[in-house]
Amino acid sequence: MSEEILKVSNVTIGYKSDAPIVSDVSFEIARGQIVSIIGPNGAGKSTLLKTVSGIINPIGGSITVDSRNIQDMKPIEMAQKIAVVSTKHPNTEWMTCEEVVEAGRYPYTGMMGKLSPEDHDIVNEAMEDMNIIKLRDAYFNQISDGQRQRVLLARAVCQQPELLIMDEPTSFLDIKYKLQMMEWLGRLTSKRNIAVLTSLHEIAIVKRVSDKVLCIRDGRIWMFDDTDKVLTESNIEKLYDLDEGAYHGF
Amino acid sequence: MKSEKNRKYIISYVILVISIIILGILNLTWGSVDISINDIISALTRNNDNETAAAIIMEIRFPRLLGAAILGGALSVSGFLLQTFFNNPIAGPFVLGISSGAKLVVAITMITFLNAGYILSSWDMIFAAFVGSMICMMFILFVSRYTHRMGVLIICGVMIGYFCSAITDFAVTFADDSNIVNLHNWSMGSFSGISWSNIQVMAIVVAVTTVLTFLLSKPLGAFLLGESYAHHMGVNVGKLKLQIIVLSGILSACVTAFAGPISFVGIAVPQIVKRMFKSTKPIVVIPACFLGGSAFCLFADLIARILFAPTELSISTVTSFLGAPIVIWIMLKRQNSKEV
Repeated sequence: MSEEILKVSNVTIGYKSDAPIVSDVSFEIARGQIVSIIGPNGAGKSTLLKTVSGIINPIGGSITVDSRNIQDMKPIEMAQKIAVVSTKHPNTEWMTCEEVVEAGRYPYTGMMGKLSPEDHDIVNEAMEDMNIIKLRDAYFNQISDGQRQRVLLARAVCQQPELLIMDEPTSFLDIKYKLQMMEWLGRLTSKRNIAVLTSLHEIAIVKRVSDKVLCIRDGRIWMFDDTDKVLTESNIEKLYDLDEGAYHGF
Repeated sequence: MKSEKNRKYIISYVILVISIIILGILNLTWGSVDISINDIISALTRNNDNETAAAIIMEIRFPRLLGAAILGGALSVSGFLLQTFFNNPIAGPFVLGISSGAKLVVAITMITFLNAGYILSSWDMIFAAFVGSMICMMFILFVSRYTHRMGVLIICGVMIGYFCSAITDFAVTFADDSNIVNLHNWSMGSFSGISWSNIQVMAIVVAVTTVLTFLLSKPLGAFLLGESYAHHMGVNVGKLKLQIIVLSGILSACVTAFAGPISFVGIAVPQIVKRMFKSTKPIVVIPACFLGGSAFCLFADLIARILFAPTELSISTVTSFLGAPIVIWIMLKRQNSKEV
């Protein structure tokens, strides 16, 4: 087991090779670390996450997870290493929250997808962690956005990943669940040694949860360093093109 | 809660099986000639007391009944696959124009080969229908790359349907052969005239494709959460999509080859079944869709045969009459509740 779970080397991301969105991206994440991605709207945060999770192929460079190039991995092998919570919620009919969480066991079940007693224990534990036991039999399309977000997080935990990728995980949550989510992220990384790569908008949350911060701006990595070094008032002002002295977040 | 769910599934399955049995018996007894249960039993046990009744049962009603049950099930499973594929509750082989594409290619193939004095086998018909299905499916897929709005997709499908029907009607009108009369009846959709050799072929094709579909229950279940979640859970999405297209294409092609295009079964039945089971779990819903489609078509064919006996209605007349209100009801229900 290498110390880094994710290593991104000289990667160019984008949908077309003649129109790269972010060029020359290099960074790595160690096990148990939380790395937040910040940057102005449209900077390419989501595209970067999609590339790392294997939805979009990188235009150049290499991405390795646990020292293996993701382009050489089978979908099922990827799923055992990386779990994803995206901003878009699935559109389901007649599917209970428990069934959605159970879907996280997909990479581990047999051909017909039957869950073993251990699988059920893992599902229960994840639902307890996210405080959604009461929603077990509720239909996923009939609960609130914030509840759905927690169901999807529980689903991701059930996948027992080594790297958890999240796109704007707090955007549907109210303040109480934002705080809970941060606490839960901390527990997840320390208890299960999972690394987290997430895009976030709220600088206050970034400051509280992240070990490192990755800033994207103008088609490149503008800064990648420890949270304390990145999150200074003047850096935030420069990153988001604010007037000098406009930001008093800290 | 788990056992309560399972009990619900079992009860729903029992209801489906019982309705198939009852409708099966009614289909054998009722018709332009009513036949008693005793005569049916003696015909089926080949203990022929009543020759005419035995002939009607064994040569006409029994193969027709099996045909309706097998093809109805196939149509419904095909609809379920398409609804899953497009994440769209009103997708189905007929609305998306796939059945009409199959009809067009079968009609043109039949006309061409009949003129050359060659009679098409069941396998030829299925193959021609499959080619037609795939051509329309490719077009629908092309459209779906540019829009994710389900309304636009459905409108395109309906337009393809009209377009293909227009060409088919044109071909049928100008094809001058006595066999074309059959072609015309077939292109309206009907379970009549299904022979035992047809039954053999369709049973093999539908059984194999339905079992293969059932074996895809696990990835199909993941696909219900959407393409990107399925991908992140380890589903080979490209492969699964191809499998869905080919399987649903074969199922609907088989129906069109033997009974012509049949409307609404592919949309309405999977919807009713999901509502009845309050689930979309493929492992539960796929077999139930098959049974539901069988029951629905047996019922529709019964009405088609007996309502104005001896005049027969085309099967689509009945399925549209029953299915269209169901689809409207489903759409309104989804608008009102949060079942989106």
